[in-house]
Amino acid sequence: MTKNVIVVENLTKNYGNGRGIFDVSFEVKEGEIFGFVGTNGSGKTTTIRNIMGFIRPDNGRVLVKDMDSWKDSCEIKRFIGYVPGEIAFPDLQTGREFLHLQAEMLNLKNIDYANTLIKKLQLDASARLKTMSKGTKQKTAIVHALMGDPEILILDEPTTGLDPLMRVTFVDIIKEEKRRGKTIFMSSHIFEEMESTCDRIALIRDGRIVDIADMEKIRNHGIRTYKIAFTTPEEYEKFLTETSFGKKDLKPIYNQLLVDIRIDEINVLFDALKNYSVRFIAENKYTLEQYFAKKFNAAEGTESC
Amino acid sequence: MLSKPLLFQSIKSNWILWLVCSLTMAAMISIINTVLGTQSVTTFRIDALKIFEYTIALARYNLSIKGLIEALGFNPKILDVWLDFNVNDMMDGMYYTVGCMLIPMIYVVITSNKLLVDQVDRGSMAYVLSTPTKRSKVVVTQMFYLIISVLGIFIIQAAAGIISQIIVSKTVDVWRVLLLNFGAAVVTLAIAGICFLGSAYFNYSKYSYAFGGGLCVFFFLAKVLGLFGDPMFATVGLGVESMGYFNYMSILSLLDTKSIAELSFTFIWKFAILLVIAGVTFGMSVYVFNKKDLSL
Repeated sequence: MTKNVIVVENLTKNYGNGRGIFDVSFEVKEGEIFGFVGTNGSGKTTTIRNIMGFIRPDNGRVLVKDMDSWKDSCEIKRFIGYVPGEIAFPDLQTGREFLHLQAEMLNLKNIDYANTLIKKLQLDASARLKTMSKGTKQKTAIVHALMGDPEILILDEPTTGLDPLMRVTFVDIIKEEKRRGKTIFMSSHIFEEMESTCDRIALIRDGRIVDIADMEKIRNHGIRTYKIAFTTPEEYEKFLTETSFGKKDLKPIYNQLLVDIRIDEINVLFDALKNYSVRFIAENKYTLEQYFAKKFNAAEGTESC
Repeated sequence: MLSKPLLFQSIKSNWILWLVCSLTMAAMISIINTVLGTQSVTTFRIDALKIFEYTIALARYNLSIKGLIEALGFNPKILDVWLDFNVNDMMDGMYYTVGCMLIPMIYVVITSNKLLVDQVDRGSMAYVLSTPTKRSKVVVTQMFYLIISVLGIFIIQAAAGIISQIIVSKTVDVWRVLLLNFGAAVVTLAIAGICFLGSAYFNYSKYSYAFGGGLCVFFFLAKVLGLFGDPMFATVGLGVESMGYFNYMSILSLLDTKSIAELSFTFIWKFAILLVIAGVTFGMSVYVFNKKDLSL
């Protein structure tokens, strides 16, 4: 049994006018990367502020390593590295100066790991904090969160401002941290980014958890969808009438359609396709976005398509 | 009780403003001492013999000096006021309760806001509080910086005042300079406590600035308006005595320069009131900051 490192229980923080978070519950297990997705204003940051003990819940509570995050907000910080959603640095000169001061606050004698991270992220720590670009600021914040080698990482939209290459580096760093046994909680509004890193992902909308998805299940989703295009309208019509696969999204102008098929029946499809003249075939990956879209629609009682 | 790295950070981001304020104050007091120079202990040169002669002469026609002064349109109390008048006392009153307070008030408004609410509003407080540093430790450290820096400003001003006066007039009433500066420092600390409480209470800089800055402007204006009720001005028609009520509306009036000049000890309980205001507001700041939601 893996331990729960973060437990969020019926957490409610009502800001009025339907804003805030309502009855949010989930657990983050030791050693996992837990993703938290939702649109802007859906309550991600509010939840994170509760976990950090910056705001007091109206109802419910958050336990971090069995400590109440509001009452023991100082003690839990011994185990947490944090990247805030909004990056604003103290009134200091350079990135290096800032990191050194933070190291002192963390009582950190050895800053080798910080230097390793600086190298990995190609961070120019001698840049002035005021004139830093958004990406550089973000890198500085990431180094700050990780340099103390904390057990838990809480990252609020950590890739904002990073260029695509840096995002890849960041994901590598996060995976490396996971390998070293860290528990990671990160929020984002970018689905793809979460798909490739997280073990489990919670979707929050209008302050309520819609669903918690297990990425393993989504990756090994039982049904595959293929997009198939035929060379001629005749071939397209023939396939449509002669076979009984689950077809959808018919596009006669392109002689193109989608086929849903169970993973163990793929060969049946390919066998059947031998008899037709196929222009191309491509797999439509089942994404987190589709998964959540389905959940959304189900929740709203409309037919999924 | 204090976070050394945070204190270091506060010094690093606030020392320039502190230095500018301290040096300006030191320069101001030195210039005043130089300009007043040797006049510092003189009063009006009233010639008692001449007055006596006039009194006798006027009495022959059933007239009095008082009547003459009234005929000139002045308040007859003017003689008493003039007899009491001492340019040094007046300058002390004007300078320590009005003139020299503007800069420390500006310093206190800016610095108390920078120490807490600005960092909460901008979000940079997140870095301090994501380390195992208690909120109370953060407030106490910032408070410590504010108090020490305010005291520092007045220590520098007192030193400049004493030194410049020695250079100009060879003598100096050290205790009086120290008491006046201590008093002005205590007034500033009470104001600092109020501003700091605003900084701890509000989540937005703009509200905190409006609160602290607004109160300071009010205190300052009330004190200036109160000056027009000063007997010195009222008797010569430059003010109205009832304007003196404004003095009761300003915290700056709790520095009783007259009492300090006479060493009459009423200034001591006024100091006590100021210290209580400072103590209560600073204490409340810690409480409020510990309890509130921080959007970090």
